Amino acid sequence: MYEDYFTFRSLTTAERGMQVLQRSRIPAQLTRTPSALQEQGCGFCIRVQAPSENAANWQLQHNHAPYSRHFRLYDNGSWEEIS
Amino acid sequence: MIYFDNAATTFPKPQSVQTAVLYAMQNFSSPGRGGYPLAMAAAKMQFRCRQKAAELFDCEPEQVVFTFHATHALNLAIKTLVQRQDRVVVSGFEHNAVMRPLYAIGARVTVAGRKLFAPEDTISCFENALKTKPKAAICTHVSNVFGYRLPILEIAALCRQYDVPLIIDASQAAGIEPVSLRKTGAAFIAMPGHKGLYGAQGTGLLLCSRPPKPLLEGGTGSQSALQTMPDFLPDCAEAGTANAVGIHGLLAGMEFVSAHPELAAHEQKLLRQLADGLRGFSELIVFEGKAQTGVLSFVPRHIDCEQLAQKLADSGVAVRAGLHCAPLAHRSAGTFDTGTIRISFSYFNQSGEIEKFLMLLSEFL
Repeated sequence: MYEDYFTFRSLTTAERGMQVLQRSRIPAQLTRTPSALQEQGCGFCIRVQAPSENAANWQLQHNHAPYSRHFRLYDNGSWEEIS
Repeated sequence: MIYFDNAATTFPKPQSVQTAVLYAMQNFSSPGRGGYPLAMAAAKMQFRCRQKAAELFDCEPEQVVFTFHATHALNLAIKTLVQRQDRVVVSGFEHNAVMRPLYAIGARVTVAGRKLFAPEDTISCFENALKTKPKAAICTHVSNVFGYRLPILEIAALCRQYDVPLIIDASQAAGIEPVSLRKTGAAFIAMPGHKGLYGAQGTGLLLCSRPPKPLLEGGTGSQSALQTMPDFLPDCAEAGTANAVGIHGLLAGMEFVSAHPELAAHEQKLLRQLADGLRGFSELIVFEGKAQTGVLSFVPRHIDCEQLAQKLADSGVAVRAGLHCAPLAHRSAGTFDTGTIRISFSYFNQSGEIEKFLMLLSEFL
């Protein structure tokens, strides 16, 4: 199992992303970005549980909620960046 | 009390705004900081407020910057576009919130259009001034002294034609007149939250077509490892803890405005009643015109404006006398030496208040 994290440069865009996912009935949570994913310090991200990650990705990309980066957290604690 | 100073700040505030302010004090911490429920609830509310502003003013939520007031917003906009010795075109009805920053910067100011209630003249003067390619144009949408509704769409079109960035001061227009960042193509539109948007004092908005230069540097809750401010909207202009209490009140205020589309017509009706009544006093010079919102100024011929305003205040009527922080507007209208008495309405004023005011006035003149 895994869960995906979409990072955003601004909380405002992350909030917009959350609305997009809520409208699409995709379960998601707006949270602080884990330290391991932070590039320039604090920020916010959207966490999505599998198997909703592809739908979430599509919705964010097609509804003016551009994320900065997309990561996957596996059960063993390792991260993978999804291109 | 009869409150006719709504151009300064609307009073009373809708019950929903009062409730929202109290709710925020009990339920929100700092938006954009922690990840716990109190902070996340505040962040969600802040975004809803940005969205509401974006809906009202035809832009994207990211283009909405929260400020302390319109003056703060105007300073952000002006200091982004204008540097020392730059030439700037302004209307003849600008507030000190525009003129003082320009003076402090050392800008060279051209005043375009000083005739009251003469939109064609205003347009023509702006066109002549814009042809000379100034660094920026700044125009109030509605004069805070006279209620003159300037032809902002036409001025914006001219600015686009001559490729001059435009700053609109929508302090007296927001919530009453249609205001659109998209349609005007303005670089920035500034407005307070506590006037026609019915929010609390200490709130304002800057709508941005481009990221402004920060006036303040500090924490934003984003890119915090960097020494510099983020370069993206809205974070680049929002250093420091947000006024969550005020923002929640502002959200309720904007919802109130949306729920009352009759607001402008109501103010217009009151304005016409007042103008009709004042016309009966030969002792008054009344400034009225077609292109006028719910703001009206007059000058008594035989009594000092401040003294008459004080008499009214002592009788329970709140009006504003003097220069209204807009000496340029008074110079344009020829009232700089006397000032004026200004009456300004809100949703909560009623026809009967005007009748009572006119009766009092007849006693004092």
